[in-house]
Amino acid sequence: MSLEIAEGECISLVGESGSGKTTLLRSFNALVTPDAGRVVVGSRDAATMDVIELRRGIGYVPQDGGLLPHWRVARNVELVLRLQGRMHEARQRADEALRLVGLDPEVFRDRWPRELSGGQRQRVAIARALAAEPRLLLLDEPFGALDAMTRADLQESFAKLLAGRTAGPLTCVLVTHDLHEAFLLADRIAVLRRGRIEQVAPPAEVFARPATTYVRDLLLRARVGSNDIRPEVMKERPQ
Amino acid sequence: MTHRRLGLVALLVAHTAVAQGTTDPVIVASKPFGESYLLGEMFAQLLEARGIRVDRRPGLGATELAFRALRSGAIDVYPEYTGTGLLVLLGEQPRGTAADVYARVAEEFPRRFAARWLPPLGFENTYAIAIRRSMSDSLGVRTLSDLARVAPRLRAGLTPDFIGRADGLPGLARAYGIRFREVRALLPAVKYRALDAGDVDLVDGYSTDGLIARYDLTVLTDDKHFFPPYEAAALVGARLASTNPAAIAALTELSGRIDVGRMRGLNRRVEAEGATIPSVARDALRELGLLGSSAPAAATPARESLGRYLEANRGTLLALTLRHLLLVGTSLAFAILIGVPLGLVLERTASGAEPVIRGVGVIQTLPGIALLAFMIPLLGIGVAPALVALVLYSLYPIVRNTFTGVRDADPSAVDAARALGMTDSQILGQVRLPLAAPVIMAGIRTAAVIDVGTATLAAFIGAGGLGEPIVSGLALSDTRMILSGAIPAALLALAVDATLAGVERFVRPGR
Repeated sequence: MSLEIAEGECISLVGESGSGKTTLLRSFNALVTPDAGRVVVGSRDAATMDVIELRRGIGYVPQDGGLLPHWRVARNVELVLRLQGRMHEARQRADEALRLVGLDPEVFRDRWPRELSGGQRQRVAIARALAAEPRLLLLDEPFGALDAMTRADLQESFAKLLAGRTAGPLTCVLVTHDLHEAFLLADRIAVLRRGRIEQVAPPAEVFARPATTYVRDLLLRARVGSNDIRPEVMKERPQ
Repeated sequence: MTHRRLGLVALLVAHTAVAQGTTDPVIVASKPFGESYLLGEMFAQLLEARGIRVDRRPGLGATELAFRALRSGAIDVYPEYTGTGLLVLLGEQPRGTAADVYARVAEEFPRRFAARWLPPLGFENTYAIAIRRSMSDSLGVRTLSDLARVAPRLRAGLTPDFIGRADGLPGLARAYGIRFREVRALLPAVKYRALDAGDVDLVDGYSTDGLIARYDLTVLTDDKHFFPPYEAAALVGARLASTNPAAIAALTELSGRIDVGRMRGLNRRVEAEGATIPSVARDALRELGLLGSSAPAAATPARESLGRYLEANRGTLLALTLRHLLLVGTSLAFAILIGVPLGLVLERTASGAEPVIRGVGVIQTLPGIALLAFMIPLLGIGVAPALVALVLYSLYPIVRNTFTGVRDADPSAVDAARALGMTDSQILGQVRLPLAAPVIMAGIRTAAVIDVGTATLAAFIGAGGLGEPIVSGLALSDTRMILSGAIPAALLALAVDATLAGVERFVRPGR
């Protein structure tokens, strides 16, 4: 497969379990290394980069948040900043990141992860991923484990967060099995099946012209309708 | 019980003596049964009366343990029986009179083991088979030959020592053609009680046994003279024999002075009347004119209640508890220092871990006494081998829980930590270990409770602790004494567990 992601765009990898979307995502921060082929991040081959440096520069949000249960919220959010040695600004940046995801630092800073609801945990995970201002953000089913109401809430907040960002271009790769989510958040959608890419296109195009019968069946089964298409996506599409 | 306190004092004195470069104390030991304790204590008091420093190691495991300790130089002297020397230690068949047996061991031991028998104390204590009087009367059993006739209908309760020794059940069965309906291995403490309750019909004992008198028993005559003569004598190790003539002379003062009637009377005072060993030993030495009688002989105290007994011995028990705690604490610390890193290393190795952990687990299935016996040639007796054994026994739960705890530490948290750029050592130190801490602590807790229980075995090799009154109590069939060790040990286990439970709560992540 070959997939090029432009700086500043949000691409969503969709497909059934086993389609390879998570594996593809994890190859971007070298959690898996490809048997063959190359992953280029920025202009450098990921295989030639120091993996620790590479990972510290990339935000990561797993399905269940992956918060470290023995650390309070603030310590979790400060994780990457502290790893980068940015101790002096860690506290302030962490507070900013918490505000960005809609959590009041005064209230949440000193909470333990187990004292949070599922939605709050994911917000903290997103804050942690963004606190060190990475240029690439990887999300693996970030809202997959939440109830429908909370999920809708978080999707909306995240969409606003992406749109309202001022700190420079943020490229984002979102793995989801939820096509509605992909349509809501992504500039482009890559449909994966058994390790191959069936189609890469903006949501409207995927909807209007499914490249294969598989993509069409997927849309039908997910009951994606025309009201899933965001008009602004068409306008603001980076390409 | 003051001899234990004296023992501790003697230990301190021993240290001081070494520090000052003066003569080492004579290490006096005994085997874990009443008469041996008593004779050992008489040796010790006599030596002290002659101005010789003494270090006491009462109640060492059994014949094998005590003799190994003597050969390795870990102890200097203990009371032994010539028949045991001939059959068990030399592995020869019994022959001739008591004098013949003594002559044989006295000639052979210096050559083979560099150990020396002092002249016999003056009495024989042979094995005896004792049967309930009502049963011996109704069956008309008076001799061992009579017993062979009715044995297939009888249940025997025998000490493990007797069941295993060549001069015990195996030889007896061959010599008389005895085959019991059932043989149960019973410790002295439960042996007589089982007999009294009718669970067994006959037991083994010693001819000088104080307990045979306490229960209504008939001692069967050894009409074929199977049991060899067992004359009691001091068995002395090479170092003492060659370097300390004053001690040899002092111990020889007892030779030929204790006849069988006197020994039986002394044993009865300890085993049937509940008098303390040091007081009986002191009275005996005074009656023999070997000790200046500065104070009048203490009257034999009546058997006190458990409460009174604990109250009267609280100083000793406190010292034993502290010693026990020291054994447990030290061995646990070493087990943690070895077990946690071992668990971490094993978690890194893909395939080798399970066999190693299972191997560590196998150590736990070894009988404690066996493990201790293996260690005597390497480490002698006392605290060092006890600590090594305790460390080995407490290793398994610590290694297992460290391995499992770190391996299974919240996988998504570990994955996120890696994805966000923590190095392997940061992940181990800041994520996996803290997350595994409660599991590791639970392993340490398990190890500590096992340790408190196992440390009672340390008494068998002279390392002290709460096992001392338990071992002595079992040997003397003295329930109060057993409980005076067992109750503090149980309380200690509860206290240690509760303390570590607190630590466990403290290390729980996100508490």
